[in-house]
Amino acid sequence: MPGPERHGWISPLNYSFESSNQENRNTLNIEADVGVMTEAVSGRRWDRKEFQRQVAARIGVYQAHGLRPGDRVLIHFGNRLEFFTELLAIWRLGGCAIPVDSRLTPFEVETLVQAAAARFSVIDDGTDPATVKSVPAANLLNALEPDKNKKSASTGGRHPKLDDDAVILFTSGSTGNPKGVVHTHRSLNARWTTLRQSLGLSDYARSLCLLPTHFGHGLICNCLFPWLSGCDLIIAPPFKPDLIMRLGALIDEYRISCMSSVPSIWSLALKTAKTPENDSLRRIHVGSAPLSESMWTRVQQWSGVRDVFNTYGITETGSWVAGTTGGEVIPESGLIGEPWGATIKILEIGEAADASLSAQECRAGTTGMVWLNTPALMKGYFKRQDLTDAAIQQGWFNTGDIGLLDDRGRLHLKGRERDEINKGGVKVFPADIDDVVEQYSLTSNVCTFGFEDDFYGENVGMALVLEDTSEPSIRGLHEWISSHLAQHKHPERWYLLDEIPSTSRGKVNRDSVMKACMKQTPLDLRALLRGGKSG
Amino acid sequence: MNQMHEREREREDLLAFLDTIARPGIEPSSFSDDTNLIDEGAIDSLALIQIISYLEQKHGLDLQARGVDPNDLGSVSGIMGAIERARR
Repeated sequence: MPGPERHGWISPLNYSFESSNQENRNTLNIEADVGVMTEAVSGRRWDRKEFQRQVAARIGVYQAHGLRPGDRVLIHFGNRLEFFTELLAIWRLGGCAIPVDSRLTPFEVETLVQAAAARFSVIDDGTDPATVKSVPAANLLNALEPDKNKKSASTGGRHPKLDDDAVILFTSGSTGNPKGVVHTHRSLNARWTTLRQSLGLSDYARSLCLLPTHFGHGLICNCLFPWLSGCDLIIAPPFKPDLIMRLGALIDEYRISCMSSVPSIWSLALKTAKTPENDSLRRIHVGSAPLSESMWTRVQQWSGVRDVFNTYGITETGSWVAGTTGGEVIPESGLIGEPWGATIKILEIGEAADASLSAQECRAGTTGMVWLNTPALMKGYFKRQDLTDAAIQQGWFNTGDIGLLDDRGRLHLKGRERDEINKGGVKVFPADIDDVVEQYSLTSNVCTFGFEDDFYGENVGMALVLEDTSEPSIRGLHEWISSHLAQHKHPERWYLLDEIPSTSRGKVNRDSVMKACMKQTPLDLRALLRGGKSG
Repeated sequence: MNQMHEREREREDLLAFLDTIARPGIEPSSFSDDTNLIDEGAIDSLALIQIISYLEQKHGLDLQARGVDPNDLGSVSGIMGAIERARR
């Protein structure tokens, strides 16, 4: 059983401690209590014993290839049993896992591979051959490769230490200077412990994950929190429409007790999926994008579940950090609720905000910048001390979100100041797109922005100044974007301008550019590419 | 005769709509009616919600009430079939 923890009230969740000596007090026995995991599509199912066997085999493979503590490993696939086996095997050897979005272009993968300086890249049978080519062959491992040496057995590897780097989640910069959120086992454990304290475990007995495992919400909270606690996990390919369209039947088939999701999943489910017939479902999290009062109510009605939690999470804080627990909740757009293992401060908005200065703290009901203090805070941004220093002040993290605390201490979100586009729960970073478009030889200037979209909530728009606005030039740019950016980052609307609007101080404000563009007619890119009029 | 004409008009209308949500540079009409446009990468899987909205608004379909086979919404013939079944 866990002994007293250095960080006071935070004790590792259910990672068992091997002995009471000081060395082992800070080590973790990861797969000691994992639950049963089932793939929703294939029906494949591994229990704890099978995972232990599989992990031991992969430890053997990694040892044979010389993985050492501190090595980083990119995992180019997700949402299947083998992903979790890789994760645990890497951790058991003291390595750090980097889950990668499999939709990235080879250009983006190459950027990440270089930035991460990873020892290995692991692929599976579904990895795009173009991705495989963008990884140095010497570093390539196949997750489905058998343990040829058969040397592993269950004694292989060591247990990771609390302060080992556990995962790096690259949230932006896939086209230039990647920004990777580093979580140690200590910060991840803090998240899971605080969630358990705030939410309990019983409702997570059989959790469903429809989200990708390469980002915090899906990986840390939807999957690892329940599964490493001994709960069962049903894992599905991310955002798979045919599964979402039969969500009710899926819930019934696997007797799902809890699921997490994003609003775009519900947009589809509420229009197409029949309601579950059984009453297994007890809790629903909705996060990663704003949940409207209307959708919130409709999810409650569709599911028959009262506990629909509008969940606030940020990768840097180990995802879920607040939500609508704490008694009767009336759905309300922007209402988040109470913190889970965190303290929230609302500070006056200003360039020199300092979370330690109480004078800057807003009164209840007054809107300001949301700052968080949590033991689950990331270690920092990978090799980006400048960004880490800018985001964290004396342990307080500046979320970049704008909100207020009401007189009950509940958080309400009112807006966002950080530079990102939330496309149906998937974060797209305008600077990543600007980086690529700027490198096109005929680009004079570009500014990417988010605009309101009925289906995705937000979508990607692009204001563009080209040296040559002829059809071949625009076709060339379209090809350039297609080969450098994952499809979900492609701008949906292109606005050809003579110049990008800027402030009197010469600064470009994306919101102002968006407003200027919304008064204009976007280029009809589809018609142009067909050879017709471009409008 | 009128029915055939009506069906063809609806098909053309559907193709024109699909053209507005297809990935730029890819024309849904260049595929056969039975081709799954999502599998072919012509339409993003999340764009299904736009197809559903089209069916609701243009043809008054309530897919939640009627239920729908997800595979039906990936191809022109599948969508046309859903429209015809709803009319019966």
